[in-house]
Amino acid sequence: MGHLGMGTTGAVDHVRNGFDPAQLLTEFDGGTVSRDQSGRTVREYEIAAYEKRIEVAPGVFFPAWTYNGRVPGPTFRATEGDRVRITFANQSGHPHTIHFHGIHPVEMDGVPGAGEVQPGETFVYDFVAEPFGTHLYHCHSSPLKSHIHRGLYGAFIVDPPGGRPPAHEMVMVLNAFDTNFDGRNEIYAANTVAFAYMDRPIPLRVDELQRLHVVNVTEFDPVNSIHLHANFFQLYRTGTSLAPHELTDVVTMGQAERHQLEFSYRSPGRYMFHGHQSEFTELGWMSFFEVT
Amino acid sequence: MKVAPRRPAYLTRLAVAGPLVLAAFLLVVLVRADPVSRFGATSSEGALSFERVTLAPGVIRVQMRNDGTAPVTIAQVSVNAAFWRFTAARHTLGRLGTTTVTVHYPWEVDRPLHLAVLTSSGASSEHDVAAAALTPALGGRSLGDYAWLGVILGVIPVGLGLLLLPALRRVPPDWMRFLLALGIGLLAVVVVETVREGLDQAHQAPAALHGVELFVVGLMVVTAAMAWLGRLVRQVPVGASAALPPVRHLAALILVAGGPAVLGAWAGASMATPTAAALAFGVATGAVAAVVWGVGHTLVGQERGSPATVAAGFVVGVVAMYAVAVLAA
Repeated sequence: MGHLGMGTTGAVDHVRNGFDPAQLLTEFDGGTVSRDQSGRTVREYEIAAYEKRIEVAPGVFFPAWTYNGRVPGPTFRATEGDRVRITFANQSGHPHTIHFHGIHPVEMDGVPGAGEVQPGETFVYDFVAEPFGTHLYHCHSSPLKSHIHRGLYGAFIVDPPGGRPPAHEMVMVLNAFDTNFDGRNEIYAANTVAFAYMDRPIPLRVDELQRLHVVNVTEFDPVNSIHLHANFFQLYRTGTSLAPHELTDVVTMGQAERHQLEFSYRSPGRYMFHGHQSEFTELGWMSFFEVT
Repeated sequence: MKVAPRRPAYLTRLAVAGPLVLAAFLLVVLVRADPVSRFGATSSEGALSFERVTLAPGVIRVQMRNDGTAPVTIAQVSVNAAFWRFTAARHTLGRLGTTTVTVHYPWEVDRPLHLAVLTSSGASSEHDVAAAALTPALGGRSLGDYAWLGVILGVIPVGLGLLLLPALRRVPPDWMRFLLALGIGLLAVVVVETVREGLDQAHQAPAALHGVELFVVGLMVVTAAMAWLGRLVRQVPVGASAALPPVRHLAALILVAGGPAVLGAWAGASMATPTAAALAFGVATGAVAAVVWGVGHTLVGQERGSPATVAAGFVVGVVAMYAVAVLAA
């Protein structure tokens, strides 16, 4: 994009951050897989909460609260009906939880009074993954706004028992950072780092089916959205149906709303996509696919 | 007669040097140990202050200063809530350090500009330009314009005043006191205005540069200088004569008395920062206050008369200035 015009100045040190939007885009954590006596698949995960300063735009450091040192946290993936056991160690100075969106026993809800973990303590969230779809998890300790906004969230994908057609899958958590703590966001992004996919476009293949899991966790602004340029997508709302709901090129989401988008590109080129709140676009939520 | 025993010289020296050494020691302790810092958290990061925004076609330049004690790093710049790429000679500024941030941005005339700088900690410093306009360059042509302004506002009025001098000498004492009080009334309003504007600028200056103190320094130094100058001027024979002085002297006087208005106009035009403006308004306030003092001195030296004349002159002066301010707007 050159050295002038809209955008940030400089480059983020992803190595120092310990995570890279280019990589966590396609990272899915299926856990350690085994089977119980009844033959049910058991997936075991380990996750820790701790504080970490992360670079959310070149040179701008945010005092994040993280799951496993990254924002968003790991993308958990299971199949509907799997038993999920998540061992959560709270290594931070504040109480935290993991509250999963999904159907589970209320004692596994991850809220104050049910699965809240004090500093230095551990808890195992144990439930059966359902329903299939694209979901999310986040901390539900009080004050809630702080605990979510500081970075304690991630995607939780439950596949249908029969699976879906093979595709190149990606996950984008739409987030924002109130870096000066005045209740308004200074920086917007897909997967934390402002303009990450504008400065380094995501490589895609012509005619390859793309499945994009989009989760909105943006705080302080009521809605966020995603819009593809020069293309349309099949929208699977919350990913809970095998049939698409709508063919469109923009979908708007309140906080915690999430969808699956399926699309493919017919010809090579650099395709823009971004949130269609232009005020978010110019503060970091602007991206490209490089189709070859 | 009893004679006090002479104190040895070394004791006198010790009496002077001892307290001085102790004072120096105390200063070092205060600076090194900073005992006040125990009472409150000190900021880990400096504070950025916008000193000057200049607009050229398609370019915004912002002079920033670190107004805090700790260093501060400029990380990102946004214009009207959009990140915009920038260049700066330095990104990290030490205490009182400055740098100029340059952004190529298609700003529009008369539209507001909201500028924000994000530091490395995510803190933001913001500045609003109410209506964007091209910053006039201080070149040959504008210098001429400002000189002309100085001539109109300074040289010509002083010349007219001096030409009126012989006539003024024949004015009856009551009218003289009225005119002197009128002058004080006019100038009193000017003093109030320069104080108000000076303090306003001082508050916009970086806190670390102490604009209010700078204003006071300017005021004090110039008042003192003017008092000294006034004593010199009163020795010039022109004031004593009822006749008009020779043209050569007159021209020199007009230039000496009115010419500084041209310099003032140039200085005012080049006052780039609120800090400099605060100092300049201090100087202006001091100068005007000294003149008020001088005229007051002359008024007190006049023959006694009705206080009503003096009061009337003062009120007419103040009201006249108010009328000018309203009409000039």
